[in-house]
Amino acid sequence: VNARVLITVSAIVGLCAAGCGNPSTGASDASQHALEPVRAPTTTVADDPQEDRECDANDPTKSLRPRDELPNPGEMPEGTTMWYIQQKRQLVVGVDENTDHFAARDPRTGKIEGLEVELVKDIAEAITGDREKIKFRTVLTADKNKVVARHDVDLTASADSISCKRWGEVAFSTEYFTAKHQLMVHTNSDIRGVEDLDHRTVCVTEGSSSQTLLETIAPKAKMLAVPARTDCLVALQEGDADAYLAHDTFLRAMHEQDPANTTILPEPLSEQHYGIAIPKDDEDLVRFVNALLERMRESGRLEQIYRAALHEDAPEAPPAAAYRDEGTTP
Amino acid sequence: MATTPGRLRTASIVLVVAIVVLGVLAAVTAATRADAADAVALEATPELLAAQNLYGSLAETDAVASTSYLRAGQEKAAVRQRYKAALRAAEDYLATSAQSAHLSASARRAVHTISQQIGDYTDKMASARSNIRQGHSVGAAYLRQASKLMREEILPAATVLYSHAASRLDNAYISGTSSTEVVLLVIAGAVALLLLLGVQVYVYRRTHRVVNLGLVAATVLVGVLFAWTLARISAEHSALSDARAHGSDVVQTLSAARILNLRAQNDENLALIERGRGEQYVADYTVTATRIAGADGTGGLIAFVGDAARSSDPVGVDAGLGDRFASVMSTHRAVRREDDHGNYEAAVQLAIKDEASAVQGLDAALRGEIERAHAEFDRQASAARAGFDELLIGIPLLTAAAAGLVLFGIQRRIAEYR
Repeated sequence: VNARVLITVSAIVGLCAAGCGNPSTGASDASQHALEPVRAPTTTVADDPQEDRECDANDPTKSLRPRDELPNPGEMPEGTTMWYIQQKRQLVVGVDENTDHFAARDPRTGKIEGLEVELVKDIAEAITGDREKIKFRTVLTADKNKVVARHDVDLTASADSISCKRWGEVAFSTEYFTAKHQLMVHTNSDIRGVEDLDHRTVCVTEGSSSQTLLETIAPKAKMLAVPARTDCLVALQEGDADAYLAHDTFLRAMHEQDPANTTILPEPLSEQHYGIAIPKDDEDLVRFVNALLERMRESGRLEQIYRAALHEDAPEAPPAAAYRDEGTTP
Repeated sequence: MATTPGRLRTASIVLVVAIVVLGVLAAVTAATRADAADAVALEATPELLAAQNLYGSLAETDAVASTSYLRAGQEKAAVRQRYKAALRAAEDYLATSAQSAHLSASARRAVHTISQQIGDYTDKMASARSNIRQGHSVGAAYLRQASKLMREEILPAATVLYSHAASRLDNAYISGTSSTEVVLLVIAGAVALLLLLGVQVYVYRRTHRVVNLGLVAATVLVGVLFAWTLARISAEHSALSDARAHGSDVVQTLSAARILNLRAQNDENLALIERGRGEQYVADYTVTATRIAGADGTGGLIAFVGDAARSSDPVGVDAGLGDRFASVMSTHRAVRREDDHGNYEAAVQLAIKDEASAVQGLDAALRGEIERAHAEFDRQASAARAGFDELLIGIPLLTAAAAGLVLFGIQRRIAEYR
């Protein structure tokens, strides 16, 4: 009898050795945990910047007057912002990549091209002597001035409408292009103008001047705010929006991508003045860029850039520069 | 009843009851184990594989799409084929997952979400492609939106399906290796054998007959039934444990590593596509790489498999995984270095050539190891399932025969008292 008890006990023990309890190995936990999404770090939204006190509300395009003659490329005076750029051998620039003719990535070559790209290449050339020494950083409308204020880039050229509010965050060069707001709708749409926008969905780019404008001119419209400019064309094509409010410059580019189904309404809604955004504490760079723009206006280089990018839509002449101190020209 | 024949009659009833209890317990335990082994091999594992492959194909689809965007004008027919194959595989695996009879409400919702969103995704990708071909910048917007849909809607739904299948497999393993019934079975077997022995001793003392053939034969049959059942169950137990440790655990871990490898590639591409706005993707890349192989390249999922392989040899996971991962990481660092130094074009070229081929190398190695582990799983799972049919026929026969022999043997003794 004792022997049998022993056998029984050893049988139980033996079975347990083979795996009493469950053989959880943790593999499924480990692999499930590994596939969990990674939490994106939450970005803190900065408070709205205070308006710049020296900004002229009647003409926000007034910028800082050039002081000195332009130094030769590659010979920037030591200690200036331009000298630092020359030393690191590259100009870091914020641009858009969705706006044909201004700054867009050609999907067939992967290169960013356009009027604004030519403009910043001229700036790079004037500083370092090499127009290819540029690092492009694509920016969204909502953060194009923030990256400048944070010094993540040396400057941004991205259809940035000059306003006193934005002057609170960054400094602007003199105006290099004048645009105006217009509406784009489906070709067969019954929307004829701003008065038809009530209760319709209007697409705008997040953080853009169009967003502010829409709230003023059509407060009863439903606003669809998207991150990138081309997202509005998608919204229009997919039927998620009835109209797209933006600068004529972008609208023309969007219309060319879908000429049969989109129509730009002729009514001009508000004028926009583009400036290059530069960190507020880099005044020397603002004056340098203004001096360069002055030279480009005089030599016809700006018109040349307009024509190369915009062809028949190119403006007759570049907008005149305006300066804060109405003193004498150097 | 205090007479010897009365006691013998009582004893025969007790013995028959004990034998029947043992037989029923043995049959129930064997049937439970057979079902659990079937559930592991025929339902839960294929379901998990389908869920994993669905996730993997979706991740591959998106990684191929972003690579082809970065290639810009250099889209090759082979890349297009890979995109289409991955998408088709995803649709097949989704159909397999949807057919499972055991889907919870949330898993059914996930299937629904995925099948709907895949339609949207392919629509957006088709718009992206035709616009990109014409040189329209709106193509990139369609591509971004498609990728966002994949990352924020489709892949999370695939995770729900995956977790559902993984916990089903866990449960099948637990019921296939639970020891409760086995302990009861061992007690019932011991009781039946002890009673048989006790009655034989009693009969010997009362009748001075050394051998009661009926009782001896019954004892042998009960012993056979008991030993056979225990042997089968413990063989099933160890085969199932091996199927898990060297089979499905390895498959699961390496599949996760494979998915993360593809996700990392997509992160790399998106970081380049977003040009300087891609910090979140670079961060995601780092977390993902850490999950694959730890902070220093010697931990993470790959090490988990290494440990499983070392602890009891068998499948022998290829040590080359670590090296292949290291070469992915070194190309990744090269891409980041070029991009951080403003050499965007060089970074893109590295990403679509060197890094893409390193990623594919790791992917192929992982696939190979997954296949090997899967074969090991199949081998062990069929070992776990083998022999239950015979046992389930044998148990009632042996039980009936043993009970009959007990009645026959004791009846003969009782008859002697008349």
